[in-house]
Amino acid sequence: MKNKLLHGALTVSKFTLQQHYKALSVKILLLILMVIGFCAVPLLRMVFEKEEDVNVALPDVSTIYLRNDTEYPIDTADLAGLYTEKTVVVNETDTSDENFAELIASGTDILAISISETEENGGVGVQLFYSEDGEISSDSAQLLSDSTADFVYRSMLEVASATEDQSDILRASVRGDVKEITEYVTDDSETDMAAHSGINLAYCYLVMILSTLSMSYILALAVEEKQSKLVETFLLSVSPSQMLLGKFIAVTVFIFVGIFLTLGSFGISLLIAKSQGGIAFLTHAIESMGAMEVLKGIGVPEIILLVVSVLLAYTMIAFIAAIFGSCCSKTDDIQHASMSLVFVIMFGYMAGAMVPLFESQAANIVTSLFPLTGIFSVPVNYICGKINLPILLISLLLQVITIFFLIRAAGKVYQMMILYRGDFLKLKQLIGMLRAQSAAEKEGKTK
Amino acid sequence: MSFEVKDLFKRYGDKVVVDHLSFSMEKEGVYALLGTNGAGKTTSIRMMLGMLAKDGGSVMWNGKPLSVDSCNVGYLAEERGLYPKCTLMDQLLYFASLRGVSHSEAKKRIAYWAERLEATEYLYPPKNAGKASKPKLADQLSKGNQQKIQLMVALLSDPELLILDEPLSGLDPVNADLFKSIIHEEVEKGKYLIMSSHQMATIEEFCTDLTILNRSKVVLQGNLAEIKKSYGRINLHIKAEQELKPYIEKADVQLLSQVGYTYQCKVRGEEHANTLLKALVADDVTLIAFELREPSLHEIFVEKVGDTHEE
Repeated sequence: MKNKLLHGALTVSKFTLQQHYKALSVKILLLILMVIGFCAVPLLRMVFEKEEDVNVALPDVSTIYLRNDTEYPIDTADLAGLYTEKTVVVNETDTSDENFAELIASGTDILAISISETEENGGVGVQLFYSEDGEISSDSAQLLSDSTADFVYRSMLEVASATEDQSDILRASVRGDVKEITEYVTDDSETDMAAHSGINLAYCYLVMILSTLSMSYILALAVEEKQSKLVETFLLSVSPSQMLLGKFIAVTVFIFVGIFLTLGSFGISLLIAKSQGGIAFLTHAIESMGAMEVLKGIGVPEIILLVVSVLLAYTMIAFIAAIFGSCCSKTDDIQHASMSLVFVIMFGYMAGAMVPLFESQAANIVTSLFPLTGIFSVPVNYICGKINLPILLISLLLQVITIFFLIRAAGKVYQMMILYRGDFLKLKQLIGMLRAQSAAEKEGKTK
Repeated sequence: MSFEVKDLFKRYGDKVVVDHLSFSMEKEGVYALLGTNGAGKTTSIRMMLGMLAKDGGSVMWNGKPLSVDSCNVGYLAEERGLYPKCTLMDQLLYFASLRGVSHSEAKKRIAYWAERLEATEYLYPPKNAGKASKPKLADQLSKGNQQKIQLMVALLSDPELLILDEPLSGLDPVNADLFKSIIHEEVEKGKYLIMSSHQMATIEEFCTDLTILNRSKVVLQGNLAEIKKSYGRINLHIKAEQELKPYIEKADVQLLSQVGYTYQCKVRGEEHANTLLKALVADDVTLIAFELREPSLHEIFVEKVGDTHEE
């Protein structure tokens, strides 16, 4: 019986997929997805490598004049050593400011650095001068100035006889932070709000895109036989459940093939980028999103959780779409159904995406436990330490139960509505019809 | 083999749409389900095929509940269509596979039916003929040709029981004759056919037994020949070369229509007609035709459902 159900469903899905892939628009869509996958890596490189260039490139100069008016010695070789790919001459000088200006003006690739004690707090100031006629950018000059300041600071620590470890401690930055006591005592492994919100937003976006895609395909396929007046011809050979299951399988395969094609193209593009100068920009990209700490904590169990959660989200929305699609008889009805479904998806998306911004433990738990919002937030909440394992398991269980009921309801509604020809049913009408049918079935059983 | 429908019942809310329909077929042939629009024919067929839940009754094939497992059924639905943007061959192979017909067998059967239904050019477009060599899509076919493909879908599984809901509606006379010849062939092959139609002449041509439904109820049922016999020969057709109206009135025969010297009348029985004939012969009236016949199915149908249908 189960084999027969599967055979019918697979025949339906095979034909649906074959016909789908024959369409030119689908071929173009898949091509676009592959191009997006391929282009994502060069785009990331363009955006994030640019930042790296600004940080690394020192000003292109031939000579640096250095005047050090402090008691902290600077080794000119250290300064010249910053340039690894060319030879830069570093000349120490004690010339006056006027002569300094003349020296700089003598060439466009010459600059001067003055190190002196500041009068206000007894500290040291590093000033870099360059000719305005040259091609030295202020960013690159600032980088050289910062490096010089670092040398001065190191020299100061040496004069103070600090050990290497002490020097490292003194050079390390100290950051101020404010936290509520409840947050402080909860969990050390919690990710901060900005990173949690960012990652959650990305996950919500992924689920929303997947949901919207599955919704549109399921709606179109659910009404296809009604529009083609093929329902009765079909029903002789396959049951409504087989039809629905077959279409669900077809849409799932189609969507996930699209995803894998995009990811595959991205992977190939990444391999090419790796062989042509590395992929450090990707680390930059992840760091700039503040997601590095979270990603470091992701192992196989977290990946499995993410995959399972995405599949649950997809299935839940697909079967809600199947129920809505079953109530459609014509193209106009699909528009009604789409609008209602978009509302449902946006509710889940907004709740899932916004709740982390409130930094409320209770809100995180509630959105995780409610299946429609849970599909948008559970895995990220868990990975970021916002919910614990029991809450995660309860949330997933509730989602599975909801999906089970949705599948049963979709099968019932599809069967009940398959010969229905009329306007798009409102939820109230649909529930009324379902109740009437259940009552009739009960009456039949009693007889 | 036998096919039996017993006490089939369906209602929507308080409205009864099929009221205890029962009939059976003990041998091959054509069983007709007749009725006005909304009489419950299509609903009955849908319940027979299990597409619609029954509120009561049973449908048996060889003593077992009818299902695709117990009986190879072919069905040409009243609401019929095809995927508009799929090639015809793809669709036929798809429906054949859904009915459990193997790919190679399906191809053989499609070739046979394409030939028989004169649809070869749509299913096997000529090669190297430019645009014409492209496989045909359903929406490129006329309604009649689409109907041929739909009939092929119904016949592809070589069904034992064939249910045809309004099979000839929308067909031109040439294609209607083609369909009729195929129905005759299927009956000769020993198939069981259930046919619903509004075209009484067609039904009369094929069917041995029938049920007439009116407003969900059975108003007439039985063997067509016996039904006609029970009415007796009451239709009188007379053609003469002179006016016969006085004779008809004198014999108390009901005149239904008159065109020139051609008369359609209704008599109470053969004796009644003989009285009129004797009177005409006695006066040496030249008669071209004097035919006493049973009522047609059309007349019976109108008589049974006409009055209530007008309400």
